[in-house]
Amino acid sequence: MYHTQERREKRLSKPILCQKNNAWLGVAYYFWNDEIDAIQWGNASKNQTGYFEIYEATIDSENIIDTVFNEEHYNFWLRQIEKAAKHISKKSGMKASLQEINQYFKDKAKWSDLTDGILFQDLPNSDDLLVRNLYYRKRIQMAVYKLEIINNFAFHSEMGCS
Amino acid sequence: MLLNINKVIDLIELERRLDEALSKETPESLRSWLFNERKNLDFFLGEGTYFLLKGNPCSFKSDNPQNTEYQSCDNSPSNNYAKAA
Repeated sequence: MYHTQERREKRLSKPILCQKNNAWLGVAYYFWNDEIDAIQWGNASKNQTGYFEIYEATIDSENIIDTVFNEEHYNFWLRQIEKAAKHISKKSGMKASLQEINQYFKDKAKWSDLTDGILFQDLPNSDDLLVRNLYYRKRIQMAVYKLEIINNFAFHSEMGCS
Repeated sequence: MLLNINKVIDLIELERRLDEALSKETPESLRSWLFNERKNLDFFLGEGTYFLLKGNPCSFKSDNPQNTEYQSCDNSPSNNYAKAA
């Protein structure tokens, strides 16, 4: 999988933990399944220096909640999201974001003791699609909560932003 | 590349933990937790970069509107949510 970062003077030896409030699956190490999405992300969001770097790693996904390819996990996760969202909204009068609900799973429900991360998908945002208006390719991202399951992390490529 | 595509995660235990956590919540505890999560002002301001305002940032030719160029806005929900490291 692929990890995109701004170009730095020194190559990274491990991924950078994303702690942004708008990180959609909470505080985690984020990886793209496809290189093309890693490149798109570099162009869109890692463009402050004019260059970005892509790192590659192998992720041990044994304890990952796989909402993309595992039907049972997907149905489970959907049910938990909706249950938590309704509960939080009803009790607090505030609508939680996806990021907050994931953070709730991880921190308050202590899911991080039993899971190492989550695999999720949305629609691709790159221009590689060959059929107009048909998002036949999944844009898959993994949020990894534990550094230990990230193996063989290494520099893959550097590109100028387009 | 992924390794060891899933074996068994104890989904029943995950659900039990979530139910237990939710059942202990009060309106105050949830609000407090949410406010704490949002304490960084960025949450309220959304995404973007700060720019100094310049006068008259856009113009519109009222006498010749057909030549006015409009830029399309990409409203893909993915752009609003997918913020990764």
